[in-house]
Amino acid sequence: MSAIQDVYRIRTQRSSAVRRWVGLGILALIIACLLRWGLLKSVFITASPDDCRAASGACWAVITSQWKLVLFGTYPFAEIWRPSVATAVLLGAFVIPLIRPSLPALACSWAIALVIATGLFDGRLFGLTYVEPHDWGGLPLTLLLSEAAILFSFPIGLAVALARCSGRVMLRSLALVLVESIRGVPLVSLLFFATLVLPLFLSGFSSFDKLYGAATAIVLFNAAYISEVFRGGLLTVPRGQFDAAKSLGLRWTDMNRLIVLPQAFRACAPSLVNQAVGIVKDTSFLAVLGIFDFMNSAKLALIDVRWRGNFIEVYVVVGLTYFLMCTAVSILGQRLSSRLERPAKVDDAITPVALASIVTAGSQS
Amino acid sequence: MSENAPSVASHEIGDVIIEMRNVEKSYGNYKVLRGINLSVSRGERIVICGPSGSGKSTLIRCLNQLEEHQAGEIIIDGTTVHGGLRGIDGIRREIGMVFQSFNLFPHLTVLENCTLAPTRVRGVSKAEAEATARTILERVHIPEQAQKYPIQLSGGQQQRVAIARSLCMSPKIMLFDEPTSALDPEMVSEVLDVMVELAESGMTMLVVTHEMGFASRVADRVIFMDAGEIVEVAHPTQFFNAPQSLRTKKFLGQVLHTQAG
Repeated sequence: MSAIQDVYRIRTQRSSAVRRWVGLGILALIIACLLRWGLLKSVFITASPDDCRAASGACWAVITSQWKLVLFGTYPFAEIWRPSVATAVLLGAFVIPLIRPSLPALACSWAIALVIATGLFDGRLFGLTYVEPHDWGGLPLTLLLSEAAILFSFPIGLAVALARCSGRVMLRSLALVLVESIRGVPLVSLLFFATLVLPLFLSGFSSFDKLYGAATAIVLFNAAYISEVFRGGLLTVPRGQFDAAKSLGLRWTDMNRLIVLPQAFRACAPSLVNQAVGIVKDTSFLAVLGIFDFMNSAKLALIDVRWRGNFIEVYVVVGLTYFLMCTAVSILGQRLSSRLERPAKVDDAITPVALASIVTAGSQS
Repeated sequence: MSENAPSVASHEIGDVIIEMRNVEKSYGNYKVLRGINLSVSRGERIVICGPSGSGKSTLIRCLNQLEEHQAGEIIIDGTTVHGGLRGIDGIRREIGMVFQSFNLFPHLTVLENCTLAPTRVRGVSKAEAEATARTILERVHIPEQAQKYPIQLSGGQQQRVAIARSLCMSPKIMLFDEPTSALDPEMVSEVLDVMVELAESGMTMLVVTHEMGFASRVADRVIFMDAGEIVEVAHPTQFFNAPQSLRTKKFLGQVLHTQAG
């Protein structure tokens, strides 16, 4: 190795070390500032906002002093044990498929949890006082809507995708019109349509609350997108797979369930997880209809003039909560899709010996 | 496989199992099959050859209705098949098919590939299906690969699994659509050997192939197709030694030249 190369190598090593230390320094500074603001100088519990004004850090008291509003929105305070239990049930149903990652387990546990949770919110199913959907709110409502929307929009999306790929022209064009007409409209206008126009046609159902309308709109909106994701997955399955399945005499349902869909799922799993995460966030659009989902409920904490200045803290908490929910959904998605991983080709697998030789080759150059 | 290997011993040929009458098929204005008439007896081995685009693949794909024909009649073992036939699954399970590109199910192991249809379609128990599958995998000389995934096998092994998968349904007819065309040359013979053994067992076979050695050794009849028509049907001895039509002569000249080279 020549002297010039040596100098160059030492110089690049030195400059990369400098960059690394500068980067770490900036990171440490940011973390220190956040800690100071969020923990050290902050006020967690106080009844009077004046204590907050005296402190230089965050005022978490805006949340802790009004936790009922932030967590449960407009739900009658005397009954908040009901949404609390509902939350536990919904979270429990979320954990089951994490432990046993299978689609049937997920579908069953979520469906049961949704019935129980809705029953608890509503009350009549369990002989409790009836609470109108109008008064439901907070984090439990967001969880309920998210799980319901995910549970319903995926099968509908799959059905529409299969219809669009079917040989029947009528079915295919019907699915096409459905997808294009829903996808071509903003979610907000679809929400207004479902809650203002749809009840006019369904006047027979006196109990048709705008919450159900809004949930239907979110389900249909996402089903349209999901169907296109599924269709993309279906298109990756080679024609030969259909030929082979048919030539063995498999029925249409078996062909799809056992041969086509497992391969299609594998191809579009990342995009499907994307959609599921998007659904969780879409539920926050319900605020435009005056429904008190978690986001909207948290904002109730700011209505009190004395706390109005502490909006940053409220949005930080809301943001972190959504972040946790979306991360949980994406972890679940990865757990489910990892079962569909393509079997590794023996030659492709990197053995420890091969890896070691790659590493040594890399460090020598 | 050597060229002067003795031809498969003569065997019994039974009643008619496939009957095609004036079958026509077109994609838009392009006619792929122009009035095909063919009758195949039980136990008969037929090799179909011809230049690409001559309609030979389409012909055998019409038999199990992977392609629908537009005119004429196809009768399989007494049942007339057509596009909207409700019981087509019932016909298909009696007709095994082997494809040029294997079309194994990549997400299933070799054993699962072989047991899927028997358990789902025939209602055979899992244990029984696995026992049958292992016997048949032995017959195609790859019993040790049962737990592997298709991607972990060579092309020749994959094609033998594909044959085993079809045989697990104990079909009455086997269709082969250029089974060796996608294989590396050194793997062709292992697949052909399995097919010869299958022919010796008395299976009714329709094979689209350019392997003329296989045709001369196994076939009862060789069919030459060109431009959607059956141009010539003959016993292999006559077909190779005294072809009647000019088109057959030209085709044989090309094929035998490339195979010799």
